[in-house]
Amino acid sequence: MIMNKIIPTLLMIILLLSAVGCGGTVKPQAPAPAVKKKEQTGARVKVDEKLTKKTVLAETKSASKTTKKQTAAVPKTTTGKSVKEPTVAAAKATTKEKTTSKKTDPLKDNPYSNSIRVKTIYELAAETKPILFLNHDEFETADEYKVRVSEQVKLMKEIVMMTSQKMDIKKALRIQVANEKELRSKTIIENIMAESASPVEFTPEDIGRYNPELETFPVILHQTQYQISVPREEARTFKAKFKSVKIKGIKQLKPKFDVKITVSKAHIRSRPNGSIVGIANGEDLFEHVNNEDEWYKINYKGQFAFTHQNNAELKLVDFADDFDYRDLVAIHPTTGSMFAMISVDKLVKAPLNLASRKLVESGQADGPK
Amino acid sequence: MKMKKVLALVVLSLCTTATAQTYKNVRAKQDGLSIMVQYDMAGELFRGDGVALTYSLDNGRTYSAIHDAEGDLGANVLPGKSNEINWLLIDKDFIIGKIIKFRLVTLPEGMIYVDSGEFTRTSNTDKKTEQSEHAVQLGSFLMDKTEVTQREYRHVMGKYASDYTGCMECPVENVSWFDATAYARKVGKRLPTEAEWEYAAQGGAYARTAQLYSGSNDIEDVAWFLANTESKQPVGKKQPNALGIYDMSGNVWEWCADWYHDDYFQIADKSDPKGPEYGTEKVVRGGSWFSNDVFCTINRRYKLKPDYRDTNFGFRCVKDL
Repeated sequence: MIMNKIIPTLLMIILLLSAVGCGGTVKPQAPAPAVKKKEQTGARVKVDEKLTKKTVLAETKSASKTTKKQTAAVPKTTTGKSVKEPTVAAAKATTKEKTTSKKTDPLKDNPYSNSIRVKTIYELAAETKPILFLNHDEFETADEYKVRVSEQVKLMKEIVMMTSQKMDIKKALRIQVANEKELRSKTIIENIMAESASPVEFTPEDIGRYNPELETFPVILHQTQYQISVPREEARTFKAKFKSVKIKGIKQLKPKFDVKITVSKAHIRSRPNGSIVGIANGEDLFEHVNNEDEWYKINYKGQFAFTHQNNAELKLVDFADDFDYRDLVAIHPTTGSMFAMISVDKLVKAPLNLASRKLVESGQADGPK
Repeated sequence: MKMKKVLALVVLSLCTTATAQTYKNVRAKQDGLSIMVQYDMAGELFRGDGVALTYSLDNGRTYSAIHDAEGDLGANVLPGKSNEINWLLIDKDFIIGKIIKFRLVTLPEGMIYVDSGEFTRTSNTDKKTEQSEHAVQLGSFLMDKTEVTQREYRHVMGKYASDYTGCMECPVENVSWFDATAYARKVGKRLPTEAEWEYAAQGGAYARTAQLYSGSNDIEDVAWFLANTESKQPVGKKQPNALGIYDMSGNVWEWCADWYHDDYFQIADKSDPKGPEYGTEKVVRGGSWFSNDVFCTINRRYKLKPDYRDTNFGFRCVKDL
């Protein structure tokens, strides 16, 4: 009960005290740095502040036509009676002040912002050389002023030129960085692939019908069809004991390639020399499926298609989770003879097209029901 | 039970966001007469998708795409911090002196960014010979570059919609408005409103002069119609319109989301009209391979019962940003 009475009275006292405090020293609502500046430099700075704004934003009535064109978007300021005409000394003072305020205000160190006001070329030039953009005063001759205006135009042209040059340099740098990055990642991929190479040994699960004309057995290993060249005199025993046949070779991580179009326009065909299903532009990239004679088989908008090797090149982009098997030989279980194995055809999964990809993303099943 | 629901929702939201790209800390700085935009990107792009930079001059209300910027844009952009884009402002007087905001969006494969803007739609129906004009304002959206093809429809719906004739790249036809809507929903898109369709057909913000057909005044340039074909044709073979969208005139009529009303645009909201609330027929636009040139014009409206199917009625989809 006592507490209930004490709390409101305490609150009242606090309120009264704060009211008295505010009445004594009324602080302006302006931001702190501005107040500080005012307190330190006094009335003279007041004028200088106005002049700074003026020198940056003001449009000189007598500016040449070219400068007028550039400053169309600059807000106009009215000249107050109390403000004196700007002088070179005043401008110097303001720039000095600007640099000191930059040092003290941490927010100004980060020039990036979510939304920005795009400065006009005139403003940019005025920021670079404020002296050039002062008003024409009574102490400046007409010739001097003319020279100054021509220098303004020159400076603005320089800014335009410098921006273009900067962009070109940045572009070149970006290309260089991209190339270096590509080369680095290519080296890394190649190294990983080279390190992944290891001898492998396994037995075939099944063997196909012998072809006496070609003297070969067909066999499928890791989704790839191979032909084992076995002479007829050993073929019979080879097949009889194929479950004891050993296949030796080297396995290595499979590379993943993109097909990069190297010409300005390239035909994409349904099959080698087949009908045209689309046209690709230079630098376009497609997933590489395999090679067929002089053609790259690619994934074009979710379907297999072909482009001629003259129009494109392979670009190593990654390695697959799968392995490539090379230098494979089959060893006869009784005679110990080694027979070379040649890959004939790779069995490749059909590509996912855009629509089915969206389904996969959304967790829905794909394909016919 | 409540907890389970909440958990399920959290898991679902995590799953859905895991695949998409997010752009954070989009910040800009003026460097001479160019603007440098930096952004942090999370989530890898899918093959075929690309990053696009858009800008707003009205404090983020509407955005327009930037086509001539350079840097971490388009396909092959990798996720990371401080990706950088440079945009040269020389000859871009419409931006100088304005307050500008930037936004990054992912452009899905096969879709075009349609800038927000205003257009004048001209009403010209069968019954009315006199024309009336109405201003319509639209926000930005994404639209399919081509009509939905037989292949795409087969992949998503698991069946052919029509008497399939072997042309997988031809537009799907024989689909009702319900079929089209079901397809669009399944791939996370929707059918365009009539206003969106017409705005895109005119070329969106890139429309310089009014054209009769989408992309040209000469129908032969842009459309498959009665005089130059006896059947539907593979999509994207004719000239695109100013936005880069194909076959908006001819090939197949395209279902729109709106119910049809003769005088709808005279009473509709100026901003992003979605069509009448009720109706018996849905809007179809653009004409088809079985249409005369008159029906392939941009402003020609047509209507059908939503369950109607025929060999010259297909659709394309749009997606909100």
